[in-house]
Amino acid sequence: MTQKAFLTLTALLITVSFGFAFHRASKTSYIHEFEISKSSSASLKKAEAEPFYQERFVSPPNLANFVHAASITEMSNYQLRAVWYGGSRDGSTDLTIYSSVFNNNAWGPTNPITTRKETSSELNLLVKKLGNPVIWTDQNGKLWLFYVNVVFGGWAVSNINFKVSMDNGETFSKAQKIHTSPYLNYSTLVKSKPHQLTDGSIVLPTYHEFIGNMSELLILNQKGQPIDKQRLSTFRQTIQPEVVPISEKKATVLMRCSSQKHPRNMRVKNTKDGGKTWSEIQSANIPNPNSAISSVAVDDYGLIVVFNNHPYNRTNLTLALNRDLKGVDWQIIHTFEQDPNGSFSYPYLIEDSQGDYHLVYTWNSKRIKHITFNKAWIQSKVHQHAHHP
Amino acid sequence: MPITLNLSASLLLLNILLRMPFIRLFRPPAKWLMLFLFLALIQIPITHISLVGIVSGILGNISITTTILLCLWLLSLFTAKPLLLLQPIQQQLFPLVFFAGILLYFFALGIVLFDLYALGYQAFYILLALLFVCCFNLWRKNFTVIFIILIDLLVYSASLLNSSNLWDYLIDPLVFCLALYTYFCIVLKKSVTATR
Repeated sequence: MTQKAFLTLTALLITVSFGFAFHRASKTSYIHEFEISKSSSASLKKAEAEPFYQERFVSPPNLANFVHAASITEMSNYQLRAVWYGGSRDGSTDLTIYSSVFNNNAWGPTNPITTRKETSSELNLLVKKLGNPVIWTDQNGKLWLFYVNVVFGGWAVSNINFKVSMDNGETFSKAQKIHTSPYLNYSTLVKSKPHQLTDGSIVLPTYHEFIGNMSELLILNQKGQPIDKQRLSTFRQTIQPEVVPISEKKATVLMRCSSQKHPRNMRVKNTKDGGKTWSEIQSANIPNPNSAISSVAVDDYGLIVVFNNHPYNRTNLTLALNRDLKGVDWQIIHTFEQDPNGSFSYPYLIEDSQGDYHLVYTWNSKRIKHITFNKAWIQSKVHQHAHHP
Repeated sequence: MPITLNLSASLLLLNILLRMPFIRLFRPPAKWLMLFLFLALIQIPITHISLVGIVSGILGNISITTTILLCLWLLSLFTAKPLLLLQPIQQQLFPLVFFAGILLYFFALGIVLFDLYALGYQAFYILLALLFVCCFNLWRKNFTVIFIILIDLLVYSASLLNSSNLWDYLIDPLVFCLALYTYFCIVLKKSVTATR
């Protein structure tokens, strides 16, 4: 072959290869609009309701020596499912992801969803431990379970897997890995609620703990493959972002402060264009002792956040309200837990289709606790604080 | 589990195993036998996971660039022809890997809001940059780096790796470290030569 012919052939191969690659890359577009689902029955129920508040435990008392990082979702059959991880201690190799279903005003039996060995076999990859399960129901009723695994070392070198269920959690698919980092896919974790965009894409809040701590948003397609990633904060500022969509284009993101500098307050960012761009980071007026927070929007009322109202420890769990939806100025309205010898952490708060709010959190690392309340109860607390500050 | 991921980990293990001192004493026909024997052995689960799975779990996604280099390295055990590509790889590919890696891994640390790795998901701009690189190397008649990039892109187009990020097809810490090591050896050699 002459050199000219070889050059021509190479140019042709370049054209064909790049043609295929550009075509592949074109499949990653998505619409920057949050899916806001409003149930008319929920709004009606909220308007008529009496204040309602109930507490109970999700996990049985002797399930494991250590339990942590619960999440909860309302499934397509309107039942609630909670997941958490537990084992002999945090970071042990016997950590298992457990699940339970809330039915007839009580939590059912606890069942394991996956173990280290099962995930390892399904991925055909080495897995040392599991953690941080996040359960979520998409708009089509599919149940997603995101969770992290560690190959060696600590949580800082985690990576994310997911499983899906088409039968409300009775069975789950095999684990699939999500690739999010160029450092051998290490150091991405999950904690907070995913959200859906109007085109069906999924916004999964994630964070890094390798060298620098930072919050990110991972955009997934409906097959669970990443199609975009956005960084929300930089080196050692924040982790565990909690996105709270307010409208199709507006959202507030609240973040755990992981900075070493005091005072540490919860960090906030806002978007007005569906997440294309975000405002500068601001500090909220509530403390954050480098601990997880969870938040939802309350229809026509504001944002509520559950957090540890202490600069250094997690000895209390508190509810605060923000009326302007920007997430900076908060009013404390209720304390769920207060015990100087206790530890209450990793709150996870959702609103169900009936307009009730469900909070799950780690109770003294021994059990997962569940609190249910409604908008009327929130309003009664605000009224109470207004008259008895 | 995509075939390519296990292939990369398998190639890495085979390169290490077949370079053990006692194996190097074997002649090529016996070496082929050893290759297939090792290939089978490393796939067999020990308790619940194979040696390939252990390596894949630790190293994560091995890029197609590294996979190609591992293939050539393995073939060099049986024939001298891959060694002809050593100089073009060092002179054409490694500077590109080094430059791209420095930028990629720096921005991945999170020091600034910009994340070069994120551009690999919406890969239009990375592809434009690669097109420029290929056209430049076509003009310079550097075909080795062009064909490695084209193979990377074809595997990316077929989505054969678990990852949907173009960067994971192009580069990984293994090939970056190799490029870094090669670059420092060259710099060291030049400085030693200059001082003589």
